[in-house]
Amino acid sequence: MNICENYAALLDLYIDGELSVAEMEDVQQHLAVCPACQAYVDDAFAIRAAFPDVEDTVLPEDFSAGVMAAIANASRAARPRRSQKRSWTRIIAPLAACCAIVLFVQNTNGSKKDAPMAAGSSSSTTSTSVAYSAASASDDAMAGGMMKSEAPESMVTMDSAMMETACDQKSASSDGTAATEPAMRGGILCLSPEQAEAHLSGHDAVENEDGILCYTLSAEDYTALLNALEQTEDERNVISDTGALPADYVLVYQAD
Amino acid sequence: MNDLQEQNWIAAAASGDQEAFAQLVHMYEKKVYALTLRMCKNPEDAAEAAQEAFLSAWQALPFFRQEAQFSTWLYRLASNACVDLLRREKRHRVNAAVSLDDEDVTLDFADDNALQPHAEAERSELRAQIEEGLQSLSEEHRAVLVLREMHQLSYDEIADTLDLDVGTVKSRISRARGQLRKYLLKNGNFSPPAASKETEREGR
Repeated sequence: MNICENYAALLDLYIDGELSVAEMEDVQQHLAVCPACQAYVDDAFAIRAAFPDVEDTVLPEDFSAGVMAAIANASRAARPRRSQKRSWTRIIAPLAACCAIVLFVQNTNGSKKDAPMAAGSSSSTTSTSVAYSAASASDDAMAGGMMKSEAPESMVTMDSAMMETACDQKSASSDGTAATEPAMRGGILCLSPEQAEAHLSGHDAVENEDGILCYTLSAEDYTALLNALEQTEDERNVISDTGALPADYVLVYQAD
Repeated sequence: MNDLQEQNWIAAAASGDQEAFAQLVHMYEKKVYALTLRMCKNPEDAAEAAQEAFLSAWQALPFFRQEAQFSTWLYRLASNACVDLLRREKRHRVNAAVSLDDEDVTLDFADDNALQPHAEAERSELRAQIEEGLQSLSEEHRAVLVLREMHQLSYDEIADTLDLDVGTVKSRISRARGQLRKYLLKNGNFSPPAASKETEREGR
């Protein structure tokens, strides 16, 4: 027996209490004379009665302890800048490489040194060492793992937390504004799916291996996007921390 | 549990109070895990997704808009974490011919028709079938029905949680329920007796 076409759209709303009183009465009158629709409603309520309960859910042992341990871990480095997401490490690695190159170039141009191997140890005038020591000082988790005498190229293999700090340092020292702009971090924006739909529909995106959509915008478009975000109430949704990237958020890079 | 208390915990957790966040975890862990358990293929993935949801919540809490419902926001993070996980798995899965779940779906329950007399036993059997039936639905349909029946969200709240318009929620619920019913009818002891079953949870 099939339910009546006229009432097909109303039965679920009836079952879920989403109808007005008048509509409910109408459906009830129909049910009184239509066994097929009545059977559908009965079955739906039977499903509801037997549906698994939240309270019957058996949590894995120590679930909340595990959550809090993970949070303590993530927070030790300074919330909300860090996350345990592996994906971020892979996003930041190429960026760090850029930072390293920029620092390297600045360093060699500025101080006329051939190789900044001693960065952070004695040549505290180089920008590289500034970035390194700032990063090390602000990051307990990484302090032990990072040798200050390593060459800048090795930053490519460093932990994301360190790179992020290094990138911040670079952008702060190069234009002085990036560090104070919460929506921007070294020319990267994180946008919610809604924001992406609203502002990026005309742009092409590339999906990285973690399934995160990445847009690269010209400086002009990037600025326009920043302005657009400032002009809407969406602005508050811009996440300054890509480490906390929820699913379906996208990344926007500023092209050089 | 009152709303004010929850608001206080949310505010405290947003400013970095881990104790307050632990309270929120206790308050919501079952609800979140109940959702991820139905969305994911196995308990391990479900636990991972649930943990991921809480981690995301902790990290994004400073950006949480107070006018939004914390619970729906959390369910949204959980549902996103599941979708994320499923997507990742799909990418890593190498043409595994037929998944276990697909086999489960085609299991024939005709032999189970010998009805247990006890109503409670009958109900738990139906519950088991519902669990199986849910797995036969698509992710989208499963999510709306679980949020409706287990978490007892209204259509508006489901729309908020899954970022859908209410019209889509309506049609998905209708489709999901219809498919689940069909599954239960096809697989056995869910037809004539159902009409006389109790409707204890009618309404919300």
